[in-house]
Amino acid sequence: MATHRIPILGWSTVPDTSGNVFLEPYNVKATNDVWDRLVTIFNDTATRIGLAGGFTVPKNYVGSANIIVVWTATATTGNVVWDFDYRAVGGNDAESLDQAGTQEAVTVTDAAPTAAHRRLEASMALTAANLAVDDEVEFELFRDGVSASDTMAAAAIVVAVLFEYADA
Amino acid sequence: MAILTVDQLAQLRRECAQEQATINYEKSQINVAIQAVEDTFEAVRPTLSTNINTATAPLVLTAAQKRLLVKMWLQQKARRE
Repeated sequence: MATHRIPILGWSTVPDTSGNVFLEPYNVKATNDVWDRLVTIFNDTATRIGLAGGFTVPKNYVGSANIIVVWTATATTGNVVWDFDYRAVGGNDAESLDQAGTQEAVTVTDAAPTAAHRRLEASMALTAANLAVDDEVEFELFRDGVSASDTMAAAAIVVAVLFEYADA
Repeated sequence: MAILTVDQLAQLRRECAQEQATINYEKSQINVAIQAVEDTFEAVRPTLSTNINTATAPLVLTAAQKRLLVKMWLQQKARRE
């Protein structure tokens, strides 16, 4: 058994319409102006703001499903509440991609880096049985600014979202 | 004295954060600081208006002109400091 990680942000990724989740070059907030790859910004707000997307469960998936948010910030204190809501849709002409409600919502409260721009991993475990090989997983990743636990007074900078799983 | 809404506080927090490379405070701490600025300004606003009137007498600037004057002065003051 081996553990794998695949990136799940891609062409299907779209920010919500709040204007507080958006893509920008990293060097807008980074100070060294060297690494100008795209990152996703989740602003400090009083609301729940998110990013939607989808991915396909790999052929060698067996279980131990986790979502890993790789992120950082200029803040060095406070917490961010991440919330991952999803629905896995499978089959061939069997299940609708347009279903109401989520199959599962998982959250994690992760502390700001102890120095600005340090890489962080926030991990959320999914119910492994909800997922099957070749399922299309529709998801939304939120930063929950409504939560009293979200205390970081700065934007969260997401550099990747990963699907971690074990094979046979 | 106006109690700032959560959205107003969030907007000001965001604008403050954008101007700094490192943020060493939490939301609750900057929130009370922002509210303190609001409270202090509201407390001196009548005195400020009276003092402007005294300085410009017999001319009396409108409230909109005074707001503009304070806004522009504060912007320049920030650049000077």
